[in-house]
Amino acid sequence: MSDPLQISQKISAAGLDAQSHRMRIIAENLANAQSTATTPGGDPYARKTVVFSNKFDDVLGTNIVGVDQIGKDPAPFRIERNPNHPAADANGNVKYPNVNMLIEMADMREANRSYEANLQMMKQSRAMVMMTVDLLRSS
Amino acid sequence: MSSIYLFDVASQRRHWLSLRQETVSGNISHANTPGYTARDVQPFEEVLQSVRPELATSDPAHMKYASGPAETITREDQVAWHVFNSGNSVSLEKEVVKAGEINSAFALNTNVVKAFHRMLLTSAKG
Repeated sequence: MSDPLQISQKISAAGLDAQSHRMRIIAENLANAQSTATTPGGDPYARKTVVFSNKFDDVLGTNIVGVDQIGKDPAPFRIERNPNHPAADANGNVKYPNVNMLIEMADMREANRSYEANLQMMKQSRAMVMMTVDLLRSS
Repeated sequence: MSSIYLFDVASQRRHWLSLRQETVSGNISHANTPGYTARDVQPFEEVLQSVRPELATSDPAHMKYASGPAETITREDQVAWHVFNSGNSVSLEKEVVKAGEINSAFALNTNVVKAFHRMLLTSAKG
């Protein structure tokens, strides 16, 4: 069994990884906010969603966080009339992605906060290990 | 006057604090996991007072196991500040408060050990 402080650092690392993965998906959503289909009347980019889950890690012998699945948002697409667009259907309507900037921004801030919290825990665990190591130094 | 096993108690306390740190880290990393309930360890007083069941020694050749600290049990946090729509009951603020407590308790513990160690050295060196 390894030291709980080391395990706690690894748990925080898993948290950081999960949140950065989430950040990547948000960046993908924002970058594709205007990506329409290439064929007339086709479906545009669908917003991606991330689901986290509590998984048991065999090596650590404890539960860590991980990305469970990356799903697609079933919300309806935004429809705009633009007959000149290459992706316009027979009626001249174009489907735009169901990406909402505000929601993505809120998500980004939340991911940022959670990332910072994990980082803080990692720093503290390291400081605690150093405190123990420093016991050897004083004498 | 009964003697105090300071280093033993300090070592148990350190173990308990690291376990609590691990639990808090787990809670924070699961801050956005749907359906996750926050966890906490049992109080130190309970751990210190709980006794390990003794193994019967029916033969003199039986080895005695070293009496280490009793197992610390993690359980669900009974007093969650709030529960999200997703069923997640982790409050980052609460966890940060806990982390602060752990940090100061850990610093106190190590400093006490350091002080006693110095005293021991003083008497040993003469």
